[in-house]
Amino acid sequence: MTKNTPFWSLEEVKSRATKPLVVLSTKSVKGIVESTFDTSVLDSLESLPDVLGTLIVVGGGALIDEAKLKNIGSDFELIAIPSLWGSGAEVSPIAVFEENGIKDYLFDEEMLPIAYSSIPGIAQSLPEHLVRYGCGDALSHALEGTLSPLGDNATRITGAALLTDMLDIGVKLDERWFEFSADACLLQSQTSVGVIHGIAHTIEPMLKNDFPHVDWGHARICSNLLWPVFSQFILESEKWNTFTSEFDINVSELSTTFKFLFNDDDYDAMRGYIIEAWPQILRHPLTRTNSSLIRRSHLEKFTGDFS
Amino acid sequence: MNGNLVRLADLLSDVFLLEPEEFSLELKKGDIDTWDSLGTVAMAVGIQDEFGYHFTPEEATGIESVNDIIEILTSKGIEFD
Repeated sequence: MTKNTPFWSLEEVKSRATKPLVVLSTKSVKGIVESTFDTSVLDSLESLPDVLGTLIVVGGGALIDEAKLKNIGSDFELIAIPSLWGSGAEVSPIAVFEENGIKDYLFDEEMLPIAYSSIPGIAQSLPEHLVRYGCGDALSHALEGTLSPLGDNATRITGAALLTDMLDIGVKLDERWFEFSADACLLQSQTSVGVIHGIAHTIEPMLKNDFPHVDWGHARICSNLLWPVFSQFILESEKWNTFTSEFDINVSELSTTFKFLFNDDDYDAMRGYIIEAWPQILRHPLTRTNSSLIRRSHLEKFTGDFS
Repeated sequence: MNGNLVRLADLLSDVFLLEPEEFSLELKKGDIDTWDSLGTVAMAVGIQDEFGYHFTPEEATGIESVNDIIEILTSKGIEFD
């Protein structure tokens, strides 16, 4: 898939980045980042120096999006290196942010990094559940982006191929997921996403507020919504059957994958918030671009037992 | 209202997030804030789900009222009495 943001090797990053160079990193990968760039690494955008040639940001989608927002109208160049796949933020002209307890997003091509790169092995040290959530996040972008009513035949062809590639690799630690994640993010930035993201964006701030010491992130929530949404809205729909026949999608494997990503305990925790926030979920722009209409009565489809 | 009119009224109430008493067959695009570009997308998806007809982009963006919807669907053989 054509990206506006080019990929640079680490050697290119080191040789082409404009000095002075600052590296910002998520704490969990700070060690590997310091040894990669042989420099001290910041862990907050608050401590950026006034004079800056290039900012290299290494982290998850949230940190990369934060840096992208800072990049708009700035004098420095931004290079993004994801520490885990999932959001594809490194190639997306969209940044998601939270304000006053509400998630929102901004589309602005000016925020795009001048390049993205990768650090071999950076994902190796990550715990298995984060790898799983990252795959779930990427799959949710691919699924909803492919089925979006704002797509066309070209995006459906691209999305079908991407879903097939993802199924071929499977949910596991494999650095090919970085490319899948970037492609899935680009796909949904051209089309839209749907109710998985409408729900995730609505209930994430609520879960984080009520459980501040629990890691309720976007990827975890999306991973747990794939099976309920797929089984209740997509699997039996005529549109989906036409699509899977035309593009030879392995539906059985997709179902198995989504069931694997689903966690009963997580969904039990989420269910009450979906019920409480249902009116806001219905109004959410991302719910309103779902591939099938989400109606008020559809709340019951989310309250069942999916185990 | 006959069966299809009731189905349409229920559908559009969900599409435009209206209470039952807020919906009328005389409803126009400018009457409600939820009939914006996203509302048009949701309306087109909902009509396809419920009545099996897929508006062309030109049809969907040209619809300004509930009567316009009825007119197009009637021309495709879906009856509203």
